[in-house]
Amino acid sequence: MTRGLSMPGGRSLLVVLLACAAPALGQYDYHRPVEAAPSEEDIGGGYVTPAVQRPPPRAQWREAADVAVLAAALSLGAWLVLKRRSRNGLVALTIGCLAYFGFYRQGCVCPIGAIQNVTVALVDPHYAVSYFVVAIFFLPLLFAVLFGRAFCGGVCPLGAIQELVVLRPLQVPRRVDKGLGWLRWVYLALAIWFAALPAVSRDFVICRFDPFVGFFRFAGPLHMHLIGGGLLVLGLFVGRPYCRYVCPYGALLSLLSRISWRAVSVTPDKELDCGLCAEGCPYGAIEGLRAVRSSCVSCARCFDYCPRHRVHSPERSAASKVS
Amino acid sequence: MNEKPTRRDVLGHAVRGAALMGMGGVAAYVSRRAGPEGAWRIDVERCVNSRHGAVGVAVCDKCATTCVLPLSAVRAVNDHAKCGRCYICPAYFEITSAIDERGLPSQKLCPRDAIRRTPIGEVDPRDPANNYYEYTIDEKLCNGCGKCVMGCKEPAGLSSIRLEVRYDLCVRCNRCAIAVACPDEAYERRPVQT
Amino acid sequence: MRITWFRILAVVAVTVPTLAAWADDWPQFRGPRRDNISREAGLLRTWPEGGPKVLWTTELCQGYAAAAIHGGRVYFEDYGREEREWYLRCLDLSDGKELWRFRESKTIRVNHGITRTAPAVDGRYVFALDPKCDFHCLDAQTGKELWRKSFLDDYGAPIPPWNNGQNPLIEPDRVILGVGGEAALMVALDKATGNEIWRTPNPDKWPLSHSSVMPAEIAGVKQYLWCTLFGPVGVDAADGKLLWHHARKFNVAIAPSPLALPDDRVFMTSGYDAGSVMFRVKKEETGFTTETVFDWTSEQWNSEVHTPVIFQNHMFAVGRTKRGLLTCLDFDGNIVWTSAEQAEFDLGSYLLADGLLFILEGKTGMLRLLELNTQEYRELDRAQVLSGDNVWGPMALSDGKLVLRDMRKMVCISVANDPQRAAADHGVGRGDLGRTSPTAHWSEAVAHGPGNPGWGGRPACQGYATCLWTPSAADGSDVRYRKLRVIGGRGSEPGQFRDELRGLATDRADCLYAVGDSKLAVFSPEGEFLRAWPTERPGYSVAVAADGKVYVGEQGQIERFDAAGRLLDTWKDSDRLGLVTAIAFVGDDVLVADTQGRCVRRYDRHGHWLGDIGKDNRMKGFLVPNRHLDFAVDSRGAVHIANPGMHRVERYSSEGELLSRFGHFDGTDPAGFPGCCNPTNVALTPQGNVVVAEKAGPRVKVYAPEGELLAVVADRDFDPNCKNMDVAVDSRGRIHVIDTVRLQVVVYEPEAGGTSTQPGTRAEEPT
Repeated sequence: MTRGLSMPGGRSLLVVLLACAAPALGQYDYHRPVEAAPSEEDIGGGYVTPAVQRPPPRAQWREAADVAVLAAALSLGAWLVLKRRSRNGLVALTIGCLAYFGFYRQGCVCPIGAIQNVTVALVDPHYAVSYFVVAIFFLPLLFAVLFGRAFCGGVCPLGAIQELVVLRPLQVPRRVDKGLGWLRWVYLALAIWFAALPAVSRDFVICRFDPFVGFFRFAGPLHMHLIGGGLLVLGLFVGRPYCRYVCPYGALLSLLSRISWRAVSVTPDKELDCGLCAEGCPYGAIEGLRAVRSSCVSCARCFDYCPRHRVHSPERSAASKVS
Repeated sequence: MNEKPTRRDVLGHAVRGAALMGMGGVAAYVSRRAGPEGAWRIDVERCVNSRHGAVGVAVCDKCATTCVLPLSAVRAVNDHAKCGRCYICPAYFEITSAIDERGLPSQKLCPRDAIRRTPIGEVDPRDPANNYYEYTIDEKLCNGCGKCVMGCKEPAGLSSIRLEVRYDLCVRCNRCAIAVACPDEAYERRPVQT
Repeated sequence: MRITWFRILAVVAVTVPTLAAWADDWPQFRGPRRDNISREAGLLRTWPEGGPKVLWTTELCQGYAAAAIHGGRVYFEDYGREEREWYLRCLDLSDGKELWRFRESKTIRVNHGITRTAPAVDGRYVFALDPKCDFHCLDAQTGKELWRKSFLDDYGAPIPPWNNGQNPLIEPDRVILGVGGEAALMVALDKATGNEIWRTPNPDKWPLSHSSVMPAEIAGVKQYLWCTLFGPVGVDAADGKLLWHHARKFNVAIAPSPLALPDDRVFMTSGYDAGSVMFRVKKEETGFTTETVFDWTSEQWNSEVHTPVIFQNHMFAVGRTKRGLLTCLDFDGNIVWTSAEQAEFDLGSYLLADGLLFILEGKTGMLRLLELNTQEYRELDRAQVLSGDNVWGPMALSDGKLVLRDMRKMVCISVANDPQRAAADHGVGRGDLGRTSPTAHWSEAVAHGPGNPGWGGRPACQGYATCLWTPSAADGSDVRYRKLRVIGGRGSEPGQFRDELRGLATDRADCLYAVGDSKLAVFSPEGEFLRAWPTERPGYSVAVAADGKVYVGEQGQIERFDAAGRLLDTWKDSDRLGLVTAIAFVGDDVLVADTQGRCVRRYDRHGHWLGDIGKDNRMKGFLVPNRHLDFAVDSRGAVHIANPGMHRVERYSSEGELLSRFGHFDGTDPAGFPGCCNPTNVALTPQGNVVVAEKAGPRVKVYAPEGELLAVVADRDFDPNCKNMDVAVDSRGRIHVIDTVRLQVVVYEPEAGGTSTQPGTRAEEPT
């Protein structure tokens, strides 16, 4: 974390995060050639023209708070998974993040969608992306390099809603799993392609086919609800189908998490090759009895299946029965 | 962590460092053009409700009906400095409703009764029909349906009312539902030049 | 049982000329007959580059109040916001100078403009209803107030929202006002005293709106149509009795006025989504009833503020729901055409004259000129005369001057074909007004008038049985001509010509020089043949210089001879001497008319080119479709050039500066020039009068230097196929004219004091 912030990009992010000054008054001044309206003098009686009704400048602390909450949640998630190794803590964090980013912020603090904004900002010099969107986009990537997919495990509301419906996960054959995983890259390429089009034909396909934002808002077009509902039903048996086979941001995170500085290790010390954890992982992320960095979403389920973990943390045994 | 770092560790650090620097570079590049806001707003010269010349056409209420928020983030705004302060305001009254003995229409235009009419200034008792009235829109009630905007449009009115996106309410969806529904492409996301 | 609405107009028309001074006045809202049509003719069909000439401009307070014009004076309402004073202003139409201004201290606050209505003026009184519904009668000459009424105090009428919008209606002895108060619905007031002649009771308290009273004759009863806030009414013109009321909802304000149509129908349209209604008024034993013919919502069609104008049995108006498109509607309510995709006019006003519709774009102040017809939108020209926004005020037209306004200024522009309109125009106008035929269809008469489209000029007399020409009594007795003799003729004698006779000149001794074929013949002042000599090419023109040298203009060259006929030299200038049809002298210089270059070239005595006259206009020269350009030089060196395509004679300095011009197209009035391109030839008498020759049919006329017609010398002495008849005048004022078919020269001699010997002269005394 410290290292990241000492880098040029990181510093600019920090500066940007603190610079929340200018109010956004994105309205036209509407000019009329003839002064046909009565003046205050005409109206008389000491009348003073009221100012045009305008809301106070948008509270930028709120977006700054979003970024801060995101950073805090990512840190907490990484800490819970890598240090505390607490599945229960992570579930709590997941629910909290689902409530905040999903239902409270209505899915709009979204690094997945931010792919498109950053793409447009790169190709279109007239497009001004918000500082906060840049921060929201890069923070999970930064964490992925340092601590793996902490975002997917505990913070992402899309992941969270799927995480909570995993009922009877089937193991997807490894080859099928890997093959379907490429879909994420196709989707990423499409999203970048459509976002990079000239302004008139630009489209934000990730937002257009966002599966769960309709649920978060209790509104939205029918196709969103159908996709979302379908994914949730599928998610009862296939763990996190959207994250594993669709999510373009997941593709980026899985790439970066390959080189992460710290990663999930199933057992706290030396691993025993009992293999229980592999059966317990709904996402097929344990291979050769080790967590695969790129596909592990840091959900911390494996800890609950690990006998050594129970030895080391006796209080976990009660919780494991529940899960 | 007293062990001597292996070659693998060193390589890992190098790759991570490179990745971080790359990300930082992209972030810095994007941030140079980044601003505090990029807001949705309505181009009043394209919106059919306020566009001059678009008279005798139906009012477009997409702003009120398609926003993802329960009460749309769009509001009608009256620029008082441009308001004619009419006795019979075509944006306040349903001007086709029956008139009473004072010549005033009997019904109001706003379906949510969000406009307040207040007499202002010097009042000439001999000439009540040419006194001035202030028309204030209640932001808590208005849902941006656009009826009053169309009513105030030239030539009937002075076009002092327009629709604005309330940036404190707008959640700034990338794919704004109003923008998708807007028949005039009047809803646009613009960088805010400061 | 049909609306003899032309008779209504006739009634109005008869009232006006009793006091009218000249031209066609525009004495009130929608003109003398309240039909929004001016009887003016001779209007420009295309405007000069940069738009019609602006004669004057005056600043105004914001509003829509139109002008009324009577006797060369412009009357209109205005307001001083600083002073808080209401004004009635009187300006001189010709130069915009203010003659008087009536002031009254009055607080009128802006409510979508301040002034809205036009006064009504009959030459003696001016009537104006001010924005607060106080009615003023002023002396038209001095601006002194004679009497006044208050709608509020005298009739208990409310001041309508956005202030008064009603324009008073004047009748011969009275003025009609819709008051819409508790005490009266409508009143007729004596012009001189303001005493009430009758009043219509208003038991249901129908309030007034912005509509104006319109005269009409329906079912044989003369009545006044008006629209209250609760629908149109008809009031008996004789006693003010309410005849009928067509109850229909018209919403919060009504600006247009009821429009009477044939078959006892009335059309009423209004804004604020009120739509339009056509209803029929029926006279039954118990009284009048109304019956709806059709009723439109505003989605179908309506006009927001202006009342349609009727032309060729169609209504023309700018409709709001069609985005301010000019619309042609037939009387059955079918939309014939609109100006869609060509022009939008917002709430701009319009005025019809001479078949031309002047129409303003309400947003921009662009004035467009249309040739109005029932087939299509046909635009002739446009000019940015005013500036937007809200250019909604009606226009007024009188004496070829259009007075129009925007929110800040009033502008007077010249739209007449000839800016120096001859007095004869006014004579025609006056005669027409008094001569209304009871069967004539007024608007049709005007409507068909400009159906003579080809010449772009003014068809003065269409629709009328008699055309009048009034010779100037002062000069008429001085200018009479009789035919003296005929010289030459077709033949092979030395003094005759075989094929062509084209050019004519006289020398100081009054000898006559004639060129034609390829020879030049000289005749004595008495017409006897003296001598002849050949020329290299057929001569088109001839001139004799002060030194006796003879110049013969030919194709591509000029030959110079001495008095005896010896060739001195030949000027060749293939670029500048295309076809030389006239030669004359200014001092030491030679002026040459080049028909191919369509200008007059100036050379020194040695044949060096010095410059051109007449190239500096939009046509880059004169319009000479006859292939003949002629001119003459007067004693002061001014060059009089016939410009046949423009139907006028233009006077230039020898340096080429345009000094003056006269003449206009007129196919009937002898004072004008008929046909496509006349006059073809021009000469000057020793007194400086202008002699012109015309073709088709050939005739010779004499004008005073200012352009007043003095005499028609001859119009039956020539073969009808004659054209480009050259004219020469000797020092005794005798006019020599070539008959180009019979190849002879006809000589006319002035006759002092006698009656005209020319049987063909059609001068008649005015009746």
